Amino acid sequence: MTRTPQRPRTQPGGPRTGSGRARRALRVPAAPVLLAAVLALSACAAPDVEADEPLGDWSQIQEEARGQTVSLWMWGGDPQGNAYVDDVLAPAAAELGVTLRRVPVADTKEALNRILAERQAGRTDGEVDLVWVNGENFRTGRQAGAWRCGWTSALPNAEYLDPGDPLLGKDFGTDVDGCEAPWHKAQFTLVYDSAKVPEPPTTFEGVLDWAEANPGRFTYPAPPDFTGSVFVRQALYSVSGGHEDVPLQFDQDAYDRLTPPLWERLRELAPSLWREGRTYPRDSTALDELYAGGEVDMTMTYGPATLTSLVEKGTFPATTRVLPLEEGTVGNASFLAIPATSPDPEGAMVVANLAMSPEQQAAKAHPDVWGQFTVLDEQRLDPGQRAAFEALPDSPVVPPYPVLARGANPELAAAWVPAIDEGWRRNVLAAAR
Amino acid sequence: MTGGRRAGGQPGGRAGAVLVRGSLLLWFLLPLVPLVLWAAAERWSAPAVLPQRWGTAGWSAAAEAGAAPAFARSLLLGAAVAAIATPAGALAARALAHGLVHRSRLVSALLLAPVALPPFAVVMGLNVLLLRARVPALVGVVAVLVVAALPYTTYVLRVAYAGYDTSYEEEARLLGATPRAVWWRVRLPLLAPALAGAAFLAFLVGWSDYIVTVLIGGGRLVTYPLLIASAASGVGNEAVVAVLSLTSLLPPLALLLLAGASGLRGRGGRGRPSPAAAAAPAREVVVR
Amino acid sequence: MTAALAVRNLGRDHGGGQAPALDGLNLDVPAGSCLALVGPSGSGKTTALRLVAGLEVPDRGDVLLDGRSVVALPPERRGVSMVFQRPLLFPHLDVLDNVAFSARVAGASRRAARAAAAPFLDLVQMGGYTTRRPGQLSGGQEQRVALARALAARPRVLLLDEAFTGLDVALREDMHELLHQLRAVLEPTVVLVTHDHAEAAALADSVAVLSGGRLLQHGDAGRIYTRPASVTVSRLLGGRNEVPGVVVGGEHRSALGRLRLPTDVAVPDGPAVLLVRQEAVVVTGPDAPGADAAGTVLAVRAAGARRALTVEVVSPGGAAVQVHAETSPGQVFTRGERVGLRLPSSAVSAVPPEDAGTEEPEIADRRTADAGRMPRTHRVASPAVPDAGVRPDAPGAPRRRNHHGDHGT
Repeated sequence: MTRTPQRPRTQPGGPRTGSGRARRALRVPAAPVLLAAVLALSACAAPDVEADEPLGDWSQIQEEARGQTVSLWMWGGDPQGNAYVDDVLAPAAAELGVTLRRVPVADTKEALNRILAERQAGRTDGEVDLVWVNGENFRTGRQAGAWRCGWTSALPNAEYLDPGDPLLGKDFGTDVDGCEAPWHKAQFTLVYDSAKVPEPPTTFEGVLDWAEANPGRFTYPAPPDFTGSVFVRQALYSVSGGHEDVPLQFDQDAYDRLTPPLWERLRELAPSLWREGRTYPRDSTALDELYAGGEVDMTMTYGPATLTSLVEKGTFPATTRVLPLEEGTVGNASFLAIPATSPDPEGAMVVANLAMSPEQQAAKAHPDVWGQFTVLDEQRLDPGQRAAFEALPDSPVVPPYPVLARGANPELAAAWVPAIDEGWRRNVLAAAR
Repeated sequence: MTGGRRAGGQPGGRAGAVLVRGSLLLWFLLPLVPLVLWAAAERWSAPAVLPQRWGTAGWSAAAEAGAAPAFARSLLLGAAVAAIATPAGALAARALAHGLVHRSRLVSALLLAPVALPPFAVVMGLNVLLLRARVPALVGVVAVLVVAALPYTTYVLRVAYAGYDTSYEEEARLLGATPRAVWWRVRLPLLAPALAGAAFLAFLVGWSDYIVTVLIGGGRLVTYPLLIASAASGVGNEAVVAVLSLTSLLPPLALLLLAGASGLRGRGGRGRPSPAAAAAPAREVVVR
Repeated sequence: MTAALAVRNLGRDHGGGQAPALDGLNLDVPAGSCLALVGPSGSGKTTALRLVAGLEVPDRGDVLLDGRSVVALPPERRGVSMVFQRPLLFPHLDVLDNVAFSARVAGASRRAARAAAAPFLDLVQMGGYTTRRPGQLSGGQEQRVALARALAARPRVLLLDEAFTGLDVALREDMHELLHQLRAVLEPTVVLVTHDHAEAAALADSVAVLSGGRLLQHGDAGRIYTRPASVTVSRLLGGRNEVPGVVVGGEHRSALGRLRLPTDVAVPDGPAVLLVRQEAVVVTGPDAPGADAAGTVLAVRAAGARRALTVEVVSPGGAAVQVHAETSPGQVFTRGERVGLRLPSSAVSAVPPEDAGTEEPEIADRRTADAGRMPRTHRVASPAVPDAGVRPDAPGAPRRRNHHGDHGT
């Protein structure tokens, strides 16, 4: 009874299509009484009511939160993140009287499934209090009414957020609407070996030209891998003349209009790629391995903070550098959401607020702790708080986040992703064979 | 298992037998070799045949991730599933084997059905039912896993019951055993190997389950498969995954060895004569 | 360890309108004696045994041990042990634990039970095999252990259900010898079931012949061969000679001539079939004195060390009859040879003829609660026959007569 787990959309981006709700009639043995009971129990529809009653002001919320236990469901594939939550965030929450309990899942979809099942059953004392979520899962939950909304404005630390930040207002194209509180930011980054590439390109188009000039030294993971997928979307931005020219919401006309040049450019590129574009690395891990082994001179990632430790460990060559692009690259944010079925929303809000505090944000931005970029607007911090961020170690590999994130492009809406993935498969991969 | 004889006469003779056995052994053990190497590696990247740096990073990471308590929880879950599914399967098997059920084919099919159903879809539907019925999370997990284990226990025990000779019980009764004593001294020992096998399979169902524990358990029970799946879904966690995977083999192997050893001891029909008999060949002639 | 067993009017049905598996069985087995139930398959002998053991519940009748009814007791409380055709040694216990099983079940500690069981193992000459497992023993050894196990339960009655049937001839004889020894030492009351009348005769004091669920005859072992109650009984016991004829004044007249009938049985005049065991017929030269008849050898067949002859005797009137005889080792006869036959009068008996097709005697006379009560046309002088030594049923005879009156016919 196992299924292959998938990563949620956090630092690696690619939103997936929603799983929808799999509802299945139960098979039951003969006794009619049992049959009737089961049908009665399972046949009722999900309640429509949104559990959004106001919770009072912040001091009341903090008071309520004392003594509560908050179950945070988060993707468990990152040991650094697990350690941060267990060893830094949880003790800090304990000081506020909240017991923070981490539940590891292989895919955030499972948390969503649990919440939806609880909704359908009409329970308000669910097992999920806080979910690390973004992208497709957030959108699906939103449609199903899984998230409690309208609470983020009550958080004191929300004042440190930039209200106009495009990465925080829309989550992969879906309006956030106060239904989730920001936690991390991630930035799609190209990485190169400065020893092999003495004069790095500065634009995306320049990267493609470089690849054509150096055949066999560049490739990208095949979509639907999320890193490969975002590369193709970045290419779409580039080919279309900038991210402003691509509508965030999926639009069939826009697709039909904008993608043919994209496929053409990628098809042109293919023969110069590694293995002449006949095959692509299966995922970003495979591409990282090619880069580490010196078969290609460039790689790409959603989590550049890990580059420093990779170089230190010696996995990547010491001459590895981040390749900034003039037009910026795709960035996204990931959030903490409170399910509508949670029995401890106050405690969850306290934890979300704590996670957004400058101290915690600075702590987790340290590459040795987690290396996750902050969602806070440094302009809004006072000097003391800002000092914590400036104290973060400089890395020869990765420029400071503000530099890295300059001109970050927003992510396309989730609905674009499968269309582009499928289009790539049909128009580029198949055409090469 | 009584009166064991050596299986002889394989085609290709002894050398062929050794070759076949060796290949089978290799087939099973070879996939474990990368795991073992990873468990002892701190850094191992692609072109190298062996890890570039050895170390115990995987073990310490596993310990930090809470491997020990998760291991214990998984053991308890497996034991609970085995403890419930084995007697239930025994009762079902007995009823089926002795023809005590009216539509035995239908009942058989129903009992085997959980194996055929897609787990995720079933769990989704069941979860709603269990939540509506306000079944506590742990109870729900154990119940669903017991149902998932029932096909295995029922099938194994059905075979055992079909081959079970009730004449032994008659003999025991004639020797003065009450029905309860017959159950305890004759039926249980004679069925013990099959019971052990069924319990082992049921334990495995509980030991290796992921989806039921996550969804129906509501995250209350963080078991070993949860850790493994989480670690495996990330990048660069090979050492931890290797350590967790290798250690997850230990309880099943231990149980198998235990069952095998007691089975050998219990039957004794392996043709090994006791020293007393070996020293009394003369008596053999008379007693025949 | 020894009790008198009595079975009264025991009956059990197959159900579904078929003939009963057992009907109206009446038997008495004195304490310490050995009764053999003989009959073909389906005759009800195993059913009778299982009813005595308590493994099945009778539909009619009663089982009494030492005069007390045990039919309401479950098998574990009856004090009856049984050895089956298969040894059924518990595979999960070693040999000594098997024998000690009854003591263990009775509550003794393992040590005490094993100590108490050891002598029984020695009794069956398997004392050196205490730690072996059943899977390591041969068939004969297993059966011995099974016997020891049954005896260690100190039963009041020991039942043997075709216990030696599966063994080869030499082993069987060993087991017969063993049983004799055990009977000498422990004096158990034994009821054994067999389809081999020779085994029955070798082991038992009295033999009961069953067929079709009914008791045909119950008499002591030596006598039942020479005084079968009917043609059916004679056939079931392997008798091959049946000469139809007429009884006139204590003489049987047939194609063989006139033969004097023994005086201990009163046979009324009328049509009767002469029965004589083929082993009792003496084959002589054709003109030897004392020959009762003469005939021609039709067939010669080897039967172990002896020869089985089929001799055709033709009466002066032209009627022909075949007589089977067995010769002593060393005598040689050929086909077509003329031989003489001597039929000792003590070995012949005459019974009323049976209709072709009926295998059973009349219903009214199948109850023989006391050994020796014969069908209506025959009366035995006394149940204790003179030519067989001390019979176990002799002391009980008067008592049984009284009971017979109580139970009616």
